[in-house]
Amino acid sequence: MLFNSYEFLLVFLPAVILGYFALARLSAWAANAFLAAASVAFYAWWKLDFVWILAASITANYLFGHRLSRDSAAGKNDRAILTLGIVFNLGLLGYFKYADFFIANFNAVTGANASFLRVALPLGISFFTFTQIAYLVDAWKGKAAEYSATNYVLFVTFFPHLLAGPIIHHKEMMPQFADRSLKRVDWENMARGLALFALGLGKKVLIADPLAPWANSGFAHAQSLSFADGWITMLAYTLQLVFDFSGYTDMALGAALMLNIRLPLNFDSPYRSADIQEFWRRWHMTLSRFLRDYVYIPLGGNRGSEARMLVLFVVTFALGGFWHGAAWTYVLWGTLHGVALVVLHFWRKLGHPMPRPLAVLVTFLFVSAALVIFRAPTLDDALAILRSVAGLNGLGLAFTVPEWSWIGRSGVAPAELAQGVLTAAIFAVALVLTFTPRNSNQVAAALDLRMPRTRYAYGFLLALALVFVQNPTEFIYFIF
Amino acid sequence: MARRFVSIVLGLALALAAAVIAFNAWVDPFQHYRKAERFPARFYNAWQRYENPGLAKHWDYDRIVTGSSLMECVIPEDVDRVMGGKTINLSVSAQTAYDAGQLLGAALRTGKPKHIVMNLDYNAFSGAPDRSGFTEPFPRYMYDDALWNDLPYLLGVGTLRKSLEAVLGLKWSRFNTDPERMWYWMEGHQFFAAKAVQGLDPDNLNARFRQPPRTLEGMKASFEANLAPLIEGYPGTRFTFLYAPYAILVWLDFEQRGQLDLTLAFREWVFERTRRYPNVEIFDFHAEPSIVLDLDHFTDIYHYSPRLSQALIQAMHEGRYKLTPEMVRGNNAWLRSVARTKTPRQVIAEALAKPMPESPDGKFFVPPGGFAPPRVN
Repeated sequence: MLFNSYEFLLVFLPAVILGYFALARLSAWAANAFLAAASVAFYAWWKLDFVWILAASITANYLFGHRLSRDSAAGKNDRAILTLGIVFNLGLLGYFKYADFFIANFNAVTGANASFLRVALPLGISFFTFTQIAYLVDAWKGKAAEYSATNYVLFVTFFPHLLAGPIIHHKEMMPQFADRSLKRVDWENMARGLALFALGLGKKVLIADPLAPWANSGFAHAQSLSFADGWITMLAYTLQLVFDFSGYTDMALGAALMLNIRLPLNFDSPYRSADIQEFWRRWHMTLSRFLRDYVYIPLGGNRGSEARMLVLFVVTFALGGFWHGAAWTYVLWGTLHGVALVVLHFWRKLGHPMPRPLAVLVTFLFVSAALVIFRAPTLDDALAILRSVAGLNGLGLAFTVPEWSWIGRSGVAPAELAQGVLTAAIFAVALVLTFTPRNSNQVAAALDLRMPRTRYAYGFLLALALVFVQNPTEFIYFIF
Repeated sequence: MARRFVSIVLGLALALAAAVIAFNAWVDPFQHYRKAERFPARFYNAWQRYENPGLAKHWDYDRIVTGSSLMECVIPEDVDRVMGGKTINLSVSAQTAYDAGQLLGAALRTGKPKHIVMNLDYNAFSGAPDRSGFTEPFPRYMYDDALWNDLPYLLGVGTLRKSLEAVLGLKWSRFNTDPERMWYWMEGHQFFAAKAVQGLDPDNLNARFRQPPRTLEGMKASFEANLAPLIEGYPGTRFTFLYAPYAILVWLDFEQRGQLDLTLAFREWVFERTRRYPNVEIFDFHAEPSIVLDLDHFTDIYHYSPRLSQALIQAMHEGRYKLTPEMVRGNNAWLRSVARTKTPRQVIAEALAKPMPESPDGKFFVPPGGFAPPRVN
């Protein structure tokens, strides 16, 4: 089930909120059990077949964690169990997400013709796997202990974070699930959670989704883009991605807040960052935290030589890229970010800080260009787009991609013109919003709930978003 | 204060959503609940998968013509003139077997259709049996009679746009209003050999059309999942399948992509699979040399002229080209031989060398020993 679906918005979420607080009057355990069951149902709605994978992952990790916590409490360092647990998790992820990637590379290198497994990727597996790896490490360190199976299931499956993060820590969630004072309706949280949810839904369906056809079409015409096309394509995807992902995260945080649960912040106006280090403190923040705490530091972090540290930057980010998907383009994207950190390290040593606006611009352009590699189906397509952006195919302002070929053309059909102008307006609004001082989390937190116009504005926004949840694009047969 | 905020935000949002639902239900732009009454019917080419099921449920007819864009220009009146009865054209651009199965299923459940005339397009059987030609999720909720799942239709902005356009008389979207030409697209198209081969890459004939690859097993599975249950479930309905003609370059494309043998095998398999059903007949125009080898019938390698379209109806009515076991084998042998002896470069060069006809609106077609060409209005 997706947050931006009618079944979630009009049935699941209201029913869960009502059921959770009603049951909490009877028993905190019952409320948590209900929430866990509802979260599993939320996952199963997408594809019932994959519930067993989630169940197997939870069961194994619960048992590993149980053992690690017990041994840690007894002062026993059970590194073998931890290793086994991590191998199990990476094995599961490797099988479902990376098996065909490894087979393809094996075939390419050896000339073999091994068959692909063609395993369907279970939704959210990257997120629930990383969440549980972090839990095992914390349990091994004695920082986390969970002996209640119900609570553990809830920790892993809690529906707001299950499919797309944030990647949470056991220690930041369990006290909240255990706190009885949070099991009563808190209207302040309900209001701010609702506002954040509405903002997130709006970001997703009113901005990101309408930009998707432009980005998709630009990438589909990668090999024939003009200079102007290249820039539109690159920026459309840069904006689509941040509004999509941060919008979805806002909905997660908002839905959780309505249940009095605070999830960690995941986006903080990342495109306003003045360097790549700041970017990763603002972009997918819980992944950055995971990579720092569970990859970079265990591998040595800042403890070794400068050269080793810089190599670790690149390795950590390359792994982070690989986590995003089973393709070399993701690895390259991550590696580029690692290299950018190395460049930043030396730039700082030179002692010539850029003026902030220029630094923000440079960072934004680097992030956008790297995202072309992230999004493109092949490196060849990515390089073709980047060549257009760099003006290597000429500096012409021809608008050749169907979605925006109406620009500067006469005799455009009214429907095409209206659709095009609307999307262009959304593009411009998205660009402005990206650089505005306050993001959706800050807006929701600072909301003056007493102002009538605020209430009406949010009511209207929510209604508009509900209407745009179902926004199918026209079927345009490619011949006619 | 916070409670009031929640109440007003939710109350207002739900009230506005309810207003949209009521408005869309009242206008009903895709005729999901009733035949267009309040506003003149509009047939939106880009929304056929949304609109066709409503037409199937609420319009009067006893025959359905369906298929991909090849069938969109069949005019119901022309069919009725030849075959009698009352025809509706429910064709769908890039129709897959799944699209057809869903649509015909919805139509057959009404008990109205006594005769289905459907083009069997090989590309329709590529991919998984539940593959729609539509990249977005298939609007299944438009194909049943349940009200509870209609929210995407009633609340969606796509419906709202069409409702507003209908009420305000706007003509922003592309649509037809003539029930005889709901999906007609041939106006302005020219049919002659040089046009048919325009933009083709002889080394990659599929580059322009980007048809997905097929497997024989996949095609069979798609047929079994989507069409066989309808044939078996509605024995009182006559199913007339036709292999509407392609230009020879399509067969050269199949050969180029290694799809020729499996396509021919599929033809044979479909024939054998449906032989036992008295309510099924298949007409095969794929191996008629005077069509397939004469590119003046076409505007591109797939799409033929309206004149030919009418002639096919006449030919089927007269029982010509109806497949027999000998014909399947003979036609397959001919197709295999032509596809392997001609080359794309040669065919394209010949087409480009052909003079443009004075009236490039397609050639009349008279089958060997044939009939008088149908009158063109």
